[in-house]
Formats: sequence, structure tokens, C-alpha cells
Amino acid sequence: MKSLLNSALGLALGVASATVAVADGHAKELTIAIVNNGHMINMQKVAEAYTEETGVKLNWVSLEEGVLREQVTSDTATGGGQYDIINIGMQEAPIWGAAGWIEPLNFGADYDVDDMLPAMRNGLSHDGTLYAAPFYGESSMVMYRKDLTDAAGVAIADNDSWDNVKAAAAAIHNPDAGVYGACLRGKPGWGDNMAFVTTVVNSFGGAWFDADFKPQLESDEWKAAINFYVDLLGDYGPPGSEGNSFNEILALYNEGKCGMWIDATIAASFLTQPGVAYAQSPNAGNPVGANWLWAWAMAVPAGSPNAAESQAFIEWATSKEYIKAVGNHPDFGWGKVPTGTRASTYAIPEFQAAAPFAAAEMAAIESAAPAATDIKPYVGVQFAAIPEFPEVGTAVAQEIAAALSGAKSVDEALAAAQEAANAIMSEAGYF
Amino acid sequence: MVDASRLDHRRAPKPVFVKLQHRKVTRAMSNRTLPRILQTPSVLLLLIWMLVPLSMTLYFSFIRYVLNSTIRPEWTTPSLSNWRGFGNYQYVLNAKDFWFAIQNSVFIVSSVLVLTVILGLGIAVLVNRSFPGRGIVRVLLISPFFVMPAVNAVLWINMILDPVLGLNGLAVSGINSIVEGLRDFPVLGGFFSMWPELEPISFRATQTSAYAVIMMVSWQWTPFAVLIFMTSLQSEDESQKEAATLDGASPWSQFINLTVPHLARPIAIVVMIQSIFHLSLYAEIEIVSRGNGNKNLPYLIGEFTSNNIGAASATGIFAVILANIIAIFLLRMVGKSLMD
Repeated sequence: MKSLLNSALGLALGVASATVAVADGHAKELTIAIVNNGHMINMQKVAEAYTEETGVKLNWVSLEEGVLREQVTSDTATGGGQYDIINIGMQEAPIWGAAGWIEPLNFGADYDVDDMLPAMRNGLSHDGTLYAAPFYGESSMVMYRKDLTDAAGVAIADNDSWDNVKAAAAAIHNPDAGVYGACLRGKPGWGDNMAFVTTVVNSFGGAWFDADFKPQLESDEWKAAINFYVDLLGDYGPPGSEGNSFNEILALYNEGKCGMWIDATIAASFLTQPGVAYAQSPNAGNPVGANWLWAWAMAVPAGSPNAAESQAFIEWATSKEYIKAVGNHPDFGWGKVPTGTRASTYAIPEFQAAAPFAAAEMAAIESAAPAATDIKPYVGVQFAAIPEFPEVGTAVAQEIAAALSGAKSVDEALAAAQEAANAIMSEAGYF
Repeated sequence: MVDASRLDHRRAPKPVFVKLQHRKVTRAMSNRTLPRILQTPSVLLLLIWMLVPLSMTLYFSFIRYVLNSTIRPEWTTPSLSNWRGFGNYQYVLNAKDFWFAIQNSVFIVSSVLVLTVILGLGIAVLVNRSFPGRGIVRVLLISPFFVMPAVNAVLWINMILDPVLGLNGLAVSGINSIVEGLRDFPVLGGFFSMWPELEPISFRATQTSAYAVIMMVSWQWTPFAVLIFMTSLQSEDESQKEAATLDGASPWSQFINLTVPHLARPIAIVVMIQSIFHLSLYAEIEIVSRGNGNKNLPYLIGEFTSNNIGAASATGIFAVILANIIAIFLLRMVGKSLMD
């Protein structure tokens, strides 16, 4: 009965995709599910060399982040077997490793696994075993227009206090000239507004859950942090901030509408406005967790018939050689190499010349702290690595957006968020 | 469903040859086994197509079933030992946004219906007259219907409704700067300086996102209403209208007393088809505000499927029940208007 239902579900899920993996022992074809952002799209082209060299044919299934997450989760959870290699994020990797959904990764000595940035390696491991190899990684930092801060006579330092940053935002805020002091994420989603909001909460000393996984959303730290966030973005942010996430703010910034932007370090490589400067994330007394840590990584679903070939491809795609291959590729070059994974990348002179933000990015990633602490019992900076987090995060995200819209007061929104989070966690069997 | 033959029956007497042919066919197939055997595969396929997903949804809605759990790993395989009775239904009923989703769904569907029927009627009557370039105008009028829903939402929210870079933001800052300029005039300046600075409305906010969805869906579906109304306007009795004109009836009273009753059936059809489609809106809601202040049952199901399949299935059953209630209600209404 069980297996019948499982296979029926697998069949239902499989209908959508016509891809069939060859299961004849030495596969010549691998099906890879990837998220559709720049680095991954480029990989399809760079990997043509891999196919030439090894004869392994690669089928790419490129999906939007949310769709990818849904597809890959249901396919892996039900053992659907549509994909040989999957792109997963740092939120999923440790949980899926613990659940036995993905294979542990073992690479040869040439791979130099110790070159991997420690924060990345820890975030993608469970009990010291690496389950997913980082393809590119990021943290968060402040990017601001130095011409505007200089003209206003203010400065933003590394690890500045939030009050100073707010004062700087106020000084450069000039909506009549179309420049808004601070552009920050507001679009609801656990990976959108909550990624940024959680770093603010962390920096105020708050956390998502206590040691018993009871949600802490009505704590003083959350109230202080959300009040600060709503004030900062409400007073000095562009109108319609509740709809802005990475891509929307990038468009605003490049139109010259933003004086300051706190977001993923990868953003720095897309900025076209002159006079950009970088600073490490601000905090309100607690620097631990004030900047996030994220990676898109590659993993092999458990029980894949092509596990050996899949591991070999991942070993190639996350190696030092791959980074060099992108840097020397006529279509891409050193400005487009996937960053945030290996210490050796930051030592390459060509890369340093092409990426003025490299030092700030590496400092941010190295200072990110995903491990569990006294304050929080879970792994992850801007998320909790538990299976229920996406559901909790989404529910809370909508309430925070409602507070930002002014439809609810901060206290009302947090009370509703706490109630929803409690319901989800108790439904999941935590208490 | 509605008996389609009734429609024909009213228009013209049924052609005799149809009856004859029908009789002949029945006689030839007096042995009914062969057709039954031939129909079996398609009937079976349809049955499986419908019953398997529905019964799986029902089954999942009565058990504990999550995709992943570190606390209760036994819940991750669907099995009768995880039987939960109506627990999932209870959980969904008490979930934060359940009643809001139903209420909001009804609000969006009924607003879209009112807007599309009124706009559709007006536009259909306007383009029913002959004027140069009518063909081109009609094609242009229909074209929004062929835009994909997700593209429609992305276009509207980013290019038209965005408060900074969209038409909305540009228009407001344009008006603001014109008013600013007018303030310098010697006499009128005093009047204009009393005008407030306009703030652009954000259509992704909690308070406004439902209106954004109503706007974009109405834009997309008005052409559908226009298309249906236009075809049936062509069958309107012109001599009746001429007689009414001779009797001195105004165009407005002709519209109310002749055209609208003539269009009663197409209106009923537009209302029915649109309600069925708009109960399952998803792309617009996802793109406009990600469920902030704006949800329906399909969106709620989507939120649960991130992990809790049991709750998602229970929500699915609620959605089936809601769709059936509305369908019964609508079919009565439409059926009535088709029969008299």
C-alpha cells in the first residue's frame, strides 16, 4: 500500500517532466536541476567543455527559485528520481543530509576541500559530513553612494551602529531629487524580506526560537528590531517598499534612486552607479548574525542510479579549475566567476582587479556565523535549518509586510505572527 | 449542465433528418455490447484521470503527511497508521488566513465580474456600429485576452503600477512638478500652494494589493466579455430597434429595454465561465504581493505544500466544496435565464 501510493505520487509528479535518466550502470546522461540565476546559466555554457572531455551528456532543467524549491523538494521527498543533480540552498542542505535524502560527498585530494571557506563548509554539512558542494556563496553588506554621503558630511563605518546608519540615511534622503535614503527588502517571503529582517533581529540580540523551539516573535528584541526596520524604511525608503526584493532594488539603485542598500554581497557586481563604497553590516550591539550567509550548492539525491557520475560532475563544477575556466572563457571573464566558495578565488590577481568588492565580500562571509549559539538553538543566520521554517517564515513575512504597509501596528503584526508561528510549530509536533 | 438542445429548439424547429438518422442508428446498434466495449478504455481513462487525484487528496487530508520532519519522521511516509480524522480540517479552519482567503476570493471574483460585464457591454455596443477601421479596433480589443496571466501581472505591477519607476510613480511626480511650477504665478500661485503634494499609491501594500489584482484581471477578461457580447449583438433584431426609434424611444431606453434583455444569456455565460476561472487565480496573487493582504484558497494550498501535505489536501477539499457551492448557485441562475 505504502509503496503503491509512493509510486503513484511519484508518477503524478513525474508527468510534468519528460526527462528520463538512463540507468544502465555507466550513464552517459545526467539531468541537472538548477536555479535560473546568472552563475548557473553560465555554467551550462562552460560545461560544454566537460561534455567534450568526458562524453557525459548534460540535460539542464532551469527553474525559478520558488518553483525549483517546490519541484526538488517533492521529487526528493518522494524518491521521484527525476534529477541526478539538484541545486539546493543552505537552508535545505543540512536538513536533507540529516533526513538521508541526499548523498554524502567525498572528493579526491586534488579538490582541496580545506580551501572551501569554513562558514560555507559548516553551513552545508550535517554532523561534520559535507552533503552539498557550494557553487557560489554570499553574505550581506552595506553598499552606498559615497558621493552623496560625502556631500552630506556623514560617513558609514564597518560594523557601524544602526543609529548612525539611520542618521546617514536621513542625511542623504532627498525624495524631491528622486533619491531615497535607504533601499531595503520588503517583499514578503522567507528568503526575501525575512532574510534582511532576521539579520536586524539578530543584531538586536533576538532569535526565531528558544531552546524548546517556541517562537520568540513577541520578545523585546523582535519588537525593537521591527520598530526600527519599519521606521527606517518607512521614513527614508522609496514608496512601495513592501514590494521590493533583490531585483526590484537593483533596478532602483541603478536608476540612481537609492543612497544606500543593504543586501547580498553579489549585488556589488551588478552596480552601475558611480562612487559605490562598501561597509560591513551594522548592528545594535550584537554583531553575531548581523550579516547573512547563503549558498547555492549542488547535491546528489539519495539512491540516484548515477551517483558516481553525478559526484564527478559536482567535483568538477565546484573546483578551482572551474573558476579558472570561467575566468578565461571568452564569453565571461574574471568579473563573472562564481564567488564566495573558495579562499583561493580571492587570491587570484585577475579576479581582484575585476572585482573591487572582493575584500569586503570575503570579510563578510568569514564573519558570518551559522552555527547554533546560546541565543539560538538552530543552525543558520537568516533562517533556521528546520523543515518547518519556510512555512513559519512565509507567515511571519506577510505580517511584517503588513506592518510596513501601515495596515497593522508593529505590535499587532508581531502578535499575529507569533500566533501563526505557534500554530505551525505545534502542528509539526514540537510542543 | 445546461441542455443545449433546448437552445436550438427555441430558435428554429428541429430539422427532420436528424430524427430519421437517429432512429436508423439506434436500430443498427440493437446489439449494445460492441459500442460499450469500444467506449470502455476512454471511460476508464477519464475515471482514473478524475478519481485517482481526488481520492489521493481525500486520503492525504485524513492522515498526517509532511514532506520532512526531524521531530516526527514517521509522518513523512503516507500511511494509515498516521490517521488523523478531521484533524487537518480543523487545523486549516483555524489557520490564520483561511476565512480571509474565502472572503477575499469572493470579493475579487465579484468585483471582476461587475467590472468586466459593465465595461464589456459598453465597449461591445460602441464597436457594434460600423466605422472606418472597425476590424483593426476589434482585433486590438481582443488582444489582452491572449496575454499570459503571469506576463499580464508582471507588466502591470512593474510598468504601470510601480510607485517609483512605473507609470503611476511618473504620473504623480509629473503632476507634483507641474503644481510646483504653477505656484510661482502671481495670483493663481496662492491657490495652487494650497494643493497638497501627491503621494503615489503602492499597489503591493496590504491595503491595496487586492485592487491591483482586480484591475489586471479585469483588463485581461473584459475582451472576453466584449467578444461574447459582440457576437450576440449581431443577432439583435434591427427592425425592432427601427420601430422603437420611430416611436420616439431614446437610445438609452432602447439599450435598457431591448439590448440588455437580448444579452441576458450571454451575460449569464460570461458570469459563469469567469467565476470558474477566477476562483483559481494564482499567478497574479503571487506576483503582486506574495499573499500580503491578498489570498485565495489555491494560494493557501500553495503555502501549505512547502511541507504540510495533509493540510494542503484538506484545503484542496475545502476548495472543491466552495467551487461546488458556487457552481450549483450559478447553474441555477444560468439555467433559469436559459430556460425562460
